[in-house]
Amino acid sequence: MKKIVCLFIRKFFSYLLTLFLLVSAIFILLRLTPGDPAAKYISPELNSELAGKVRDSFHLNDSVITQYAAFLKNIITGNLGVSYEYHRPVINVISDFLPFTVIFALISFTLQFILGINWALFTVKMKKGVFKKLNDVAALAVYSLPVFLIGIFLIYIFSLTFDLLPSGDLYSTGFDSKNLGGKIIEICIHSILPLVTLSLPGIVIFYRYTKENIEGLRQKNFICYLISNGVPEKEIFNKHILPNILPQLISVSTVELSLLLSGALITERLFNLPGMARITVLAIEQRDYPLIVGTTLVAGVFVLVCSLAGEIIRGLIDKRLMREVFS
Amino acid sequence: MKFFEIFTIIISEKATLINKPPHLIKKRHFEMKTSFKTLFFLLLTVLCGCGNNTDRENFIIGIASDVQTFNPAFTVTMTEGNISELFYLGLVGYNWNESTGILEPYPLIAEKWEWNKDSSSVLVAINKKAKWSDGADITSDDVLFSFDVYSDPEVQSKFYGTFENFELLANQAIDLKKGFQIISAKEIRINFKKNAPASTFNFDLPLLPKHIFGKVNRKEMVNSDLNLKPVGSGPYLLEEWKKNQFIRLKLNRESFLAENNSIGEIVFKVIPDYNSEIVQLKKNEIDFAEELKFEQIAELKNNKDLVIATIKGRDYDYLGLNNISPERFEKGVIEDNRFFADSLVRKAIAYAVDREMIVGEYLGGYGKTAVIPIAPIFKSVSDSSLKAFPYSPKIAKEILSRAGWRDTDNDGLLDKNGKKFTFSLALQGSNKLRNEIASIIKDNLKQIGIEVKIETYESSVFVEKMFARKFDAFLSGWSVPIPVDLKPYWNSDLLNNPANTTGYRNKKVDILLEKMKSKLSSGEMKNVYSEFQRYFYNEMPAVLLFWSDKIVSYNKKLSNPDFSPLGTIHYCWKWRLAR
Repeated sequence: MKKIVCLFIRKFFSYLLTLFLLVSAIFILLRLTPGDPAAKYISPELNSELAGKVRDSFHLNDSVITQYAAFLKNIITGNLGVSYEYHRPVINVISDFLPFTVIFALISFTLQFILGINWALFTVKMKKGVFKKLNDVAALAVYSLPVFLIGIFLIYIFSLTFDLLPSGDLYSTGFDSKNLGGKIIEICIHSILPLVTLSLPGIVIFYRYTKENIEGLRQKNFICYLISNGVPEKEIFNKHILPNILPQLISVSTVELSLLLSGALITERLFNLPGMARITVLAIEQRDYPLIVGTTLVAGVFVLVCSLAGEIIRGLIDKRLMREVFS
Repeated sequence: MKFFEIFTIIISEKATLINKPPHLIKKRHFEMKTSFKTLFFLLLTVLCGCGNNTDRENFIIGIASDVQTFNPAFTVTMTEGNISELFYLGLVGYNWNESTGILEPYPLIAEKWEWNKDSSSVLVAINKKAKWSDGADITSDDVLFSFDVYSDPEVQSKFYGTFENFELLANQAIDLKKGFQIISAKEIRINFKKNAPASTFNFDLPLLPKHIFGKVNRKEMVNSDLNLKPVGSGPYLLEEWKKNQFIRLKLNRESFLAENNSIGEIVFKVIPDYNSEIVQLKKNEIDFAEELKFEQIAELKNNKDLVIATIKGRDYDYLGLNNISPERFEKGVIEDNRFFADSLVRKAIAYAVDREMIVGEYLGGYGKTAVIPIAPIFKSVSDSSLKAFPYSPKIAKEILSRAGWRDTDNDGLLDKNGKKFTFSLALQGSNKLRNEIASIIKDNLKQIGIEVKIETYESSVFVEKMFARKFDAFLSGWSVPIPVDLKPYWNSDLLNNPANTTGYRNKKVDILLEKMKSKLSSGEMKNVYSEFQRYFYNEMPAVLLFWSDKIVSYNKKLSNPDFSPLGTIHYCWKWRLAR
């Protein structure tokens, strides 16, 4: 236990440094990128003196170093600044959008994990034949389809052609007049298509990783030895195969989850959902510097937290890894 | 009913399976699995059945982005302005007269107004029925307060710097003592500068409630929460706002504008993706969408619930040919552009670009070729006798040769003093239409021996560079303001007029632009405008391409839509829904 705490603290500081570097790099790169956040607020009729005053209010005329120093001071006190676009503190803006993305990402991740692995286990147990091949072909087909195509295809079939499901949004405009049950049903109906769109590629990733790992392990000598010794197949699978593929699965999971948590850009846009991706894109388009830094920071934190959690879990499962870390 | 039957079967089966022989258990398991599958599909069907939206009482308008403020001092986007207008009314409203192309003022918060003899001051009586939505009376204090806020440099409202007809202080704020004279709670006199061409446009700004915004720190006003909770004077109230989902407005029955059969609820639904908006329109999930592209029109026309309407536009796209040298301008020197300083060259290019084809093929006919920067809808000032140049590579070549550009080395490219005619055409990469137009221009100009390289930029980079006049040539567009204002776009003072993107300089035109802002009779004004248009026609400071129509589509349940160039939802309290 003590070792885990040690590992945690050590990792925590190295991650903190990574975050700091990430945010600093974003801050400086943004200042170097062409584009003017104040442009939107300066009407063509305004003369240059007045336009200069508007620009002053964004503190963009200060040198990059002065701006950076002010930014660092703010960030240490937990103040990410006020969004140019929303006229509200960045933290408040992000807190409007983050819950949706987190909930949505977690549901999608659970679906990907459970369905992907079960599909793989199901296929592995199948006898060689056309069906097994078909499974692989289907997986490959879904894997190679871009998300937006899956989304458009689903909207076309289920929303436009058969009119079974709504084409977008989290709920319809009469949402507040409904009772709790109605609200839950409404959100469920609206989530079906986006969840399928978001989860399909992930399901295939888990499917392929699990299946390939299991099949690879089955060729290994120690498994052949166990089989020839007459150990039951179930026992081989549960005690020898599963523990061996878990670390890889966890690595894949951390990557997948952190990607989902940073916002599923295309799905959110296609289905008109209020998530992190929407504000990130808007912030970049409008050069809303404080908001860009805020969203990047949140995405960075998620990636690092997921990877830290992944490492700890892998360490707990596989003692060899733990030893490697401390050696 | 079936749902419960299956559920009971599953529960009872589970109970009876205990102590049964294995083969029986296996069989039962199979049956249970089938029941679960049926249950799942049944649930899905029930859920799916709830997805329809046909019997709504409200009217839903699709908007591309959410609103960040309702305070008219800070609204930026068209949508923000449109919605803010429904909350905050001005003293004066306008009707668009299509036959004359001018705005006709009518009293809104004002009951009436009376100009003095030399129109240097106006006495405004406030409508006694006009109230703020919290019940407070609208008074002269609110009028004074609004002008104070809008012209206060601390506030940085979007109206700041637009009060040149008032007596101003050194910091451009209105001198309130000289400008306003409160006579009673419902009467106020507004004074203008001597000989200023004052009109209703000078006191038509939306009013802000003093009792709400009076306590707010002026510097912090832009970030105040009060901007998001409007206490207004308009016909609608903010009922519910789900950020980035929708804004629901309810008719304010107390408002003097509300009528019994005005639409009770208007919803603005945020749909950033254009294609999603079209899908929702087709599925009756929204009732109104604007800024449609012509490619979808045929498809939408097939839908029996939808009506398509077009509004003749005041937006034009133009090919900007920089009159000055971008390289020298960056160093603060104004010098002629090596290609486009000569008006003959600009005219030749205007002849060489096939605008008819662009309007026909790429706008689907929903537009009109353009030549002068005053839209044909402004009938009182627009000179309809000036027609767009016809497409003629032959004339273009002749003019270019007169300007000294000839192909002396027979390489297919024009040259002059050893310099080849090749330039870069800049545009926003995200604008699909302009990308297509750029390739047409490239082809068209190639025919007359000019080589064009197309350069695409990300939007905000493009805008920054365009205002800094860093391009030789670019594709862009403007919207002609109502009332028509041309000075910022064509005045020679390049430092103070960034909107003069092509760097056009002509002293005579400057005088005309100045005259447009002075007090003139309507006949004299018309002459000034037509003189400006003749100059523009002859010198062609920018090659205008087309006026694009605004295409909107709405559900036929809207019985009396009245769209004007002021904005499609400008009079939406006058809309009615067919029962």
